Amino acid sequence: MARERTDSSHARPVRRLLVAVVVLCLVVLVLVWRIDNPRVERLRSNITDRIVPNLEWAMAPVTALGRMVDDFQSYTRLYQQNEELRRELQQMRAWREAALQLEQENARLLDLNRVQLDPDLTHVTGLVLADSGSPFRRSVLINVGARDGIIDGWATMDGLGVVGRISGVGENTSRVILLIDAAHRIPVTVMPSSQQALLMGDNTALPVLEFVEAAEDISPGDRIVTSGDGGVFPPGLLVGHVVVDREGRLRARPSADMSRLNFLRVMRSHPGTSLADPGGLIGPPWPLPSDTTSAPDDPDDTAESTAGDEAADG
Amino acid sequence: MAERRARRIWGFRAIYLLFGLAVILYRILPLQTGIPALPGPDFILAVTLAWVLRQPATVPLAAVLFLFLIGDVLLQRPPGLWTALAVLVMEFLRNRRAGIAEAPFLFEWGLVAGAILAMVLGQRVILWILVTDQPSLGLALMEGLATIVLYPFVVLVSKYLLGLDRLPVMEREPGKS
Repeated sequence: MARERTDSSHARPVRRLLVAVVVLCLVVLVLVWRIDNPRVERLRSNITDRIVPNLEWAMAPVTALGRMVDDFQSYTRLYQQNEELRRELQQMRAWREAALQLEQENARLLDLNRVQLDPDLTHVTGLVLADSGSPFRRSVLINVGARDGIIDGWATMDGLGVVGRISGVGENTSRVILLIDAAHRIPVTVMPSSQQALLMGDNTALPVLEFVEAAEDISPGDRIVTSGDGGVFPPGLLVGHVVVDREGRLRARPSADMSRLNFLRVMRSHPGTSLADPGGLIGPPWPLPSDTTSAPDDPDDTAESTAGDEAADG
Repeated sequence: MAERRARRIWGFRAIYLLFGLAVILYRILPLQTGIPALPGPDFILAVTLAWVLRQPATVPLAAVLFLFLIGDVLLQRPPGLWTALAVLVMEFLRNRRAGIAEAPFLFEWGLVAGAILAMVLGQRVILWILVTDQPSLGLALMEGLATIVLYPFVVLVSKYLLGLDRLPVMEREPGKS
């Protein structure tokens, strides 16, 4: 009994000191994260990059199993689903016919006008490796990264609509923040009325449509596409459709199937040539310095050219 | 005898680490990517607190640090904050486990519930001081409550399935970290 007391009496302060040091280090880590956020987040994405692809052997089978269970559950409604699909297919056939005709007409008209369209968006397809694992963050990790030329901020889509944007690129993986994450905002256009708005995720399935100028011109079902304002997203990508919630607020139902993300397309955006500098003065062609260096043996010529330069400056 | 007990302790440590890694792995599986579901309980925290009150040697500081830091990094939490709170609460309970060794379970549960709520609120206060955007109070509290509800089940499983019970006062090992 006496031995125990002596043991604990000198072991305790050591442990207390150890715990204090550890907690201090952790607090410093939090502060560093707050102060130099980009660097710590890069560290985080590097660690994730190191760990998650190595765990694929364990995660892939479990994920596949989970998805199979989901699929199996949907077998119970197979008949009903089949009927629905038949009906939809019938409608789709009609739409496809219309779309083909419109496409041909569009091509003819564009040809007549000689319109130069944007260069086609190319994309890199990635596979979803992991999700955020937190109830407060909506993001997924995909298996393409800096190695494949992915750059922060690029738009990400599933087959149909925008899913989110790249935020955090590791060597082999990158993180996609989903539209529905509370930190996600994109400028959008609501289609028939061409109204600009901001789509703000709020951690629910339906992100909010904010800063709409004339909400009365928008009705449920209107299409929402990216507007390309701010130069982050390419314009014209389908985001979703307008819905109105119980409190009468405008929200968007994303076209992308957020609950079953599997393959994602990362759209390579080409930053267009920016017109940053104002156009220069248009005047008579001044002799350029490069012209004068070709004949340095004539002193009069150089004197003239410097005078010309001063005139040009003034 | 001592050797067998040491081997038992190492077994529990291995179980703790493997269980923690499995939980983290399960949470980042892309099974339910989009639907904002109700936040589930924090299994690792519940197990850590239950075991530290029973046999502190089974949850050494290094293992706790390792699991919580990995969790912070992979689960998109502010790195270090939740870990620091967990270590503080763990030390608090560890130093008081002699006082509740003979107390009924309800008392222990209340103490743990208070500790978990303090962690959740402490995290919010610190994030508020640091002017970080944070999840809604409802969601955060719900996660804490789910962990509190889970706690008795963790205790039951560790007691009857793993045979991990509170040490009798006489047998408690002297100040082993």
